[in-house]
Amino acid sequence: MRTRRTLQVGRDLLMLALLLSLAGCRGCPKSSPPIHLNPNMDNQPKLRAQSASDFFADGAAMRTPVAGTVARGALPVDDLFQTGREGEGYVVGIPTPVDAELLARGADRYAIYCAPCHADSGNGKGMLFQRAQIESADLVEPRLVDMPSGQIFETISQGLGLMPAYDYAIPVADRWAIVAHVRMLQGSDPTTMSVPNGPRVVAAEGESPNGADEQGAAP
Amino acid sequence: MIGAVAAAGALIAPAIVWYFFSPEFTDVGYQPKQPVAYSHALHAGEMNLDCRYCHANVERSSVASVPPTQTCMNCHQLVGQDRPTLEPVRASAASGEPIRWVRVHEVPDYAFFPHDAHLAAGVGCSSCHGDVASMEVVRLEETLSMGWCLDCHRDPAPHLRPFDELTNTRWQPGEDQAEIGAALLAERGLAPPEECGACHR
Repeated sequence: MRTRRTLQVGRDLLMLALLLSLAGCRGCPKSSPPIHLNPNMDNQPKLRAQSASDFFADGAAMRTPVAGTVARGALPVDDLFQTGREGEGYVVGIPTPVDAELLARGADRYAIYCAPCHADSGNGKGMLFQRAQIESADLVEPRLVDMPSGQIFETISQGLGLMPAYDYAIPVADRWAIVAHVRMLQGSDPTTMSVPNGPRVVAAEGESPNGADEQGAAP
Repeated sequence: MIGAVAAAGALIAPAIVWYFFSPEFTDVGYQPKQPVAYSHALHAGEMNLDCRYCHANVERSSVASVPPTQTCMNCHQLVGQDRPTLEPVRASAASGEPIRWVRVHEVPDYAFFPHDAHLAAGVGCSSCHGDVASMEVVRLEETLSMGWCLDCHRDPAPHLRPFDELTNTRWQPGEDQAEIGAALLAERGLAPPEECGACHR
């Protein structure tokens, strides 16, 4: 009798072990959401960034900015810096101090956002070309060397042709850092192109920038 | 007899709790099916796109942010326009309705993890997310438990790396990481908080 009971207990334990082994193992891939054995307040009814919500028709908790509104800190108080333009013209130089820090930042940001299409060298044959044979603008060709910095800034901000706008991903100051890096790729010395306080040299749209030499741009 | 069962139970029950009630079991390995079969191994690995090309806010926001569909369309307006697997992306771009990506890495709602602060300190993506650039489908590799957070907050040196390695998910600490980490810790003047209010606001 006693042996039988022991056997029974042994069998039950074996069954338990088998059942548990069905429950999976640590770190095994699983597609069902984690079960919180102690739910605490892990999931609260509040809405977090990028979460879903049934309240709005598009199912998203977050709203897109209302047309015509400006986010805090994004008011274009300085047109030259925010838009690269003054009236109809583009700024020729770079409206921010160009130092080693800005250049390092520009190289870093260029590698992230620009190099996939325009290549590290700027020749327009980046990864997009290597994989899909789609060539992007050659940033080191004479047309772009002569282009006012403000127009390059505007192209980064708003896109052009097949190139999408990057203002959503790259803050204004970083766009200028990228412009400075592009000038480096073009063989210019961007440290001489800074126009922080001096006359704001602008070139009329479509014309070649006559003020370039005064600003120290390489020919 | 009863004694034997009780003894067996007393041994087994803690073992079961230890093994199965841990986030090592409940959370690690979570690999949900996503609405689009997006491959980090292809984009971040093979094509070497920087994490920040898509997760553009990660350095200046507490949330890394899943990219808007627009980011996909930057390339996919030109590449793979007729690929059926990209249909949900095109549909989302056309309608403006976001793709419902399934969140993999999630801390409890009473914990606040700032991505920007961790990157500014020099803790790279893979310290928490693993080698995402070699994952076809993103998988949870760490427990994201409080004990796991505190391990690093109490001894961050092994996890600090040079800033230019932040998004290299294949980065591995070298043999001299102890010295490098200690130097980075001092140089950056880091003092990771351990008080409750740092994460539980």
